[in-house]
Formats: sequence, structure tokens, C-alpha cells
Amino acid sequence: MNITWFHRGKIGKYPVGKRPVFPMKISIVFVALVFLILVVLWQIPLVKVKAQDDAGEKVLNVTAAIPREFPPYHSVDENGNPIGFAIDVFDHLASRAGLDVTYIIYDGWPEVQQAIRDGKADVIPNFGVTDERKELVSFTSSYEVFPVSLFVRESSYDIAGLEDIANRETAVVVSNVAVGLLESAGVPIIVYDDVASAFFALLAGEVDTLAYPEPIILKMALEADLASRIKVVGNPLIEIRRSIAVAKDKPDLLQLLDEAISEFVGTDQYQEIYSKWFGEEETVHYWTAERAFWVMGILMGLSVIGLVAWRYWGLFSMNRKLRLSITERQRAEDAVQQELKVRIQAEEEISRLNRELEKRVIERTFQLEVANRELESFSYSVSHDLRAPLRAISGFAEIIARRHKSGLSEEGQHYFDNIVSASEQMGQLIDDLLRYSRLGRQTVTLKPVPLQEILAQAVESLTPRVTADKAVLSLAEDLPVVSGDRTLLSQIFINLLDNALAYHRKDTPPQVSLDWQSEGDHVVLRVTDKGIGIAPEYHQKIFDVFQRLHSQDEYPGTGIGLAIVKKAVDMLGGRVWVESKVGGGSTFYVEVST
Amino acid sequence: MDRFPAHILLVEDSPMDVELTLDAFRQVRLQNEIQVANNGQEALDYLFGIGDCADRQKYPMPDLILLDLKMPKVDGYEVLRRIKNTPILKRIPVIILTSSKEEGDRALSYDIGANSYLVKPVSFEGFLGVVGHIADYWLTLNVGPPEGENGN
Repeated sequence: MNITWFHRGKIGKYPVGKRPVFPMKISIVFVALVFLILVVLWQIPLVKVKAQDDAGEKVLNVTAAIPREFPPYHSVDENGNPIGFAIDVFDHLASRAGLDVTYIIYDGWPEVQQAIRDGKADVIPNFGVTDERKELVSFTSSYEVFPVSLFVRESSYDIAGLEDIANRETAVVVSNVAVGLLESAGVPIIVYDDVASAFFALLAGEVDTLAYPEPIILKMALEADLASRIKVVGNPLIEIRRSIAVAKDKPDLLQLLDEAISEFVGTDQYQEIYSKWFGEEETVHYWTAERAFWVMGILMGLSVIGLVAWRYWGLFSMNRKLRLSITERQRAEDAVQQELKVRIQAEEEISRLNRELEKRVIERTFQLEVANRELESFSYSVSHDLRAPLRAISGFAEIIARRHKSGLSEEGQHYFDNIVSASEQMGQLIDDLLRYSRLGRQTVTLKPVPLQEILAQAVESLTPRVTADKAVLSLAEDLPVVSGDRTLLSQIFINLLDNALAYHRKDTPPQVSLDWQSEGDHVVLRVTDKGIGIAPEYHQKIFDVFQRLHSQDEYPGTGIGLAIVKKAVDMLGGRVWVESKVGGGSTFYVEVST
Repeated sequence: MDRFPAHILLVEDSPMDVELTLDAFRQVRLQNEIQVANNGQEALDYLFGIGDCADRQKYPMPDLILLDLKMPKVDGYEVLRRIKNTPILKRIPVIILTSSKEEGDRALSYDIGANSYLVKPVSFEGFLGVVGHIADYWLTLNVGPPEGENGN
């Protein structure tokens, strides 16, 4: 069993899934080996005993007198052969001493004693030792001692020993040693013919106590399954030694038997015989060598089977897990395949779209180039073809207004002046439009541009106007260098300043300031006027082409200036916005990269 | 300032422009005879003396050519190219007189060999100024190529 545990413990250390193959095999081999060793060990004493049995050499005939019934010492089986503890022990002793025993069965102990006296028998195999009997026979060393005890029923509570039974009747058995003992102690006794009658008299309540050799009563109670109904009280009345009685005239036999007893008593075999007849606690009796052997074998077999089953189960569950994981894996692989497929499709779709896009970009670029060329030719047409008739209108109207004044009424003259003025305005519009469209077609190359120079040029070009309007300019003089295009930046300055100068209040001269600040890698330019301001809803619209908020009479202009600013700023990758309120002046911000 | 007598060839397809230009020349009191070619082909015919133009008494070789660019069929560039590629004509100063301010036009004109590029202003007053300057500069200040050696 320990071995089994050891193996189980060891195997238990490995998780099922990881259990190596080696320890399993080794453990099975180990169990088998231990099993073999046990078998051999059990066989050895049997063999030895058998060898001793065969050792008998000089055979001596011995006649033994025994009573018919004195269980468990003496009894007779169904064939009339004597059996009992005394017989078994004496058979063994005789065998050791090399004696051939003949048993003569007598009805009772008195007859047995008589047979010795008469010389009809040589020995009494089991006889209580008393001084009285020593005169009749010689005793070997005793091989058994049993107490003669007082028994009471389990339920008795007022009898603790001999002192409590002076007025009670005690059962005894005829010719037993207890009879004389109790009589001499003055205890009333009822004498029964046999022990069974006395035992049941106690249980039935005929008597309150029973005095008799303890092992015999216990044996009887065990066999009748009544051991729990009786108990021993007090100290034993007496301890009786039992030994083999040998006729006085057989000292050789006495010596032989003494030797055999000294060898035999205390051996396992003796214990076995004792247990067989007197019965012991079942646990001790139960584990006979054979039974233990078989149980061990079965347990080992079971544990081997268990190990195999465990192993098989481990394999089985591993197999199942494996199969499960394979299925899962296949499923995952299928999913991956599916996803891969989807992705490949998606990629194909993407590359198809990309190709389409590229194609469209190329087409679009081509279209744009075409459109650009068309625009150029359109601009060209505008510049030539619109201007030519315009010049004609203007020119002839002027000639009439100048040279043919006399032929015209004042009204007619005024109308011709209107034609001239309108023509000039038309000419200006065409010029601005061309300027705007030309700006869009310009290629931008970003270079460091010193803004101060650009501003100076712009102011220079605006000088006539500034002088005419008596404008007050307050301009920063430390403008930074930015990354940009001279033409575009110049357009931004000119048009912003022009715008700021234009929309001043009628009663005050224009006041325009320009400053700047650096914000990270950007520069924000700020052009502020104290002019008429712009309503919020126009803060975006003013940057559209030809968007005008005022009539030509109020503020002359074509509405192209801020559109050019916006376009130029866009082309530089910057931003332009306005903060303004009606009557509160306007501030234009331009943000460009440094 | 005395203006030397010179023959001027005006190449212009728009009759109204022709009229205005002639008027303007009259205004600045330019007495020179101005020949007019109404398109590029006529200009070439005139310059190469083809047909009636072979008569140089009636149609003398010009001392100055005023050339419009945008004309149907043979345009100003073609006329300019032919002039500048022709040894007997190449020394004649050619003034481009156009309403185009386009960079492309300006660049191409000078590339081919224009001697001057003038933009016609919209207003007649402005145009008068331009014509006045032409007369002052090209017909007074500017010293032309040697006489009679055009044809080598």
C-alpha cells in the first residue's frame, strides 16, 4: 500500500498533459519487483517450517489423556477426532520433540486424572498447575497462563469485585478451580455442569456473576456474538498456569517436552494457534499472511490497473484536447484564410482604385492643363478682344466730347463724358481681372524675402494716393524675412494698404498702421485702419472676386484687391482674415511662414 | 523739334483702331504719310512689293512699322518674323502696338526682334500721349539705319 501511495504521489506531481513516459514505466516495473520480493519473503518461513517438520528422527510413542469437552482446549469433531487448542499445541510440540501421539478421550477431568494414576496414559497435554496436582504428576514449564475472573452482565453497575458478591449467587462450573476458591471465600455459589449453562445463566439473570477462566468465557462470548453483553470486574480471582502434565515415571519425556515448549512458545505459530482457538480482536486475526498477501497483490494489481487507466485516461483526454485544439486551430486557420482572402480582395480593390485614381489624376491633370491653356487663351482674348472695342468706344466718345462740343448740347456732352468714364472703368476692370487670373497662373517659388523691401516698394507705389488723401501711415520698420514670393508678397502689401486707405470715413483722412508679430515659425502681419468697418456677414465675402460693399460713387474700386490678397496668401500657404465692426475700423491679418 | 519726313506703315486689322490711330497722328500734327495694311498678308505684300505694291513711288519702303499682334490669318508675329528674317527689311524699326500686356506676348515679340513694345491705353487721351511719344522718339530722336543700304 505504501508503495502504491509513493507512486501515486510521484505521478501526481506531473500535470496530466505534461506527464513524461519514463516514470510511468519505471513505476510499473518497481511495483512488480516489490510484489515479487514480498512473495519470496512469505515463502521462506513456510519452507523452513516444513524442513523442521521433516526433521523427526527417533520416534517415541506417547499416550495422551484428554477430556471430551473442555473448549476451547478440548473438543471432538464430527468424525470423533480430538480437536482444540491443547491438541494443536501438543501436536506441534510432539512433532518438535519427535513423538508419536495417541490420544485417549475420557468423559471428564476426573477420568483423565485417573488414567494417569492408572498408568494408562503418559501425558495430559494441557493441565492447570496446582500444588495438589504436583503430587500426582510432573509439570513442564507452563506455556499458558489464564486468569480466572469474575464476569458480570454489561448492565451491572454495583459489582466491582469479589467484595461485592458476598450475598450474591455466583455461577461456577463443576470441578473448576473457582469452586474451591469461592467456597473458601464464603461466597454462595450455584454449580453448573458445563460452562455454556453457566454462561447463559449469567445472561438470563439466574445469577449475577460468573467465575470462570477468562479466555474460555471470552471465546464463547465472541463466538456467540455476545461479547458486548458481559464484562470482567475486579482483579482476577487467581491466575492459573497451564502446562503439560507428564507421568512421574517419564522424566525423559518431561525433558523433551520442556525443550520443545521453550522453543515453541512465543513463535508466530504458537500465536497463530492461540488466536485460532481463543479468538482475538478481529483486526489482528483478520490479517493472515495469505490474506495480506492477496490483498496486497490485489491492491498492487488495482494500482497497476489504476495507473494504466490513469495513463490511458491521460492519453485519452490529451488526445481529446489535442483533437479539440486541432479543430479549433483548423477553424482559426479557416478564419485566417477567410480573412486573408478578404484582405487580398481588399488590397486588390485598393490597388485597382489606386490605379483608377492615378489614371483619373493623370486625366484630370491633363484636363487642368487644357483648362489652364484655355484660360490663358481666354485671358489673351479678353485682353485683346474686349479692350479693342472698348478703346474704340472710349476713343470716339472722347473725340466727340472734345472736338464736337459746339455741336452738342450740355446734356449731350455730359452723356459722352459718362461713356468715357464708364469705358475707363471697364478698362480698369479688365486690367484687374487679367491681373487676378495672371496671379493664379504664376508658378510660386518660395525664397527668403525681406518684407521691409517689399513694403517700401508698395508704399512707394501708393505715395501719390497717400499724398492726395493726406493719409497718416504708421508702419513697422523692422519687418522680418519670410519665405515667399516677391510678386505675391508685393501684391499682398499693395492691395491691403490700398484697401485700408480707400475705405476711410469721409470726414477724416485715412489712418493706417502696419505691424507684425512672430508666432513660432509663422509671422502674422497686421494692417489696421480707422475706417468705416465691415459688417460681420461680409468678413468672408470681401475676399471674393468683384465683391463690393459700396457703390462706385461712394468708394471707387473694382472689388479685386482683397481677392488678389486672398489668392496670393493661399498660394503662399498662409492665412488671411479680418476683424472689424461697422464704424470701428478694420484689422486685416496675414499669416505666412518664415 | 524737327521731325524728319518718314514713311510709316501701320499694320492694323481693326478699322476703328486704324481710324483712331490716324486721328491721333493728325492730332500730334505728324505730317508723314501713313500707309495702312489691314492685315498681316497685306503688310507682307506691301513690304515684299507684291502686286501693286511693287510701285515704290506710290508705296515706298517704310522707315517705321507700327504692328498689331492679333490679326486673322497672318498675325503680327509672322509679319515680324518675316521682316526680321529678310535682310532688306530687318533694319526697319518695328514697334509693336497692341492692347496686350501679356508677358508671353512681350517676350515673344522681343525674341523675334521687335524694337519696341507699346500698349494702347483704353482712353483716347492716353493714346494721344503714346502717339506723341512715338513721334517724338522714333521720328525725331531716334537715328535710323543708313539710307539705301537696307537691301544688301
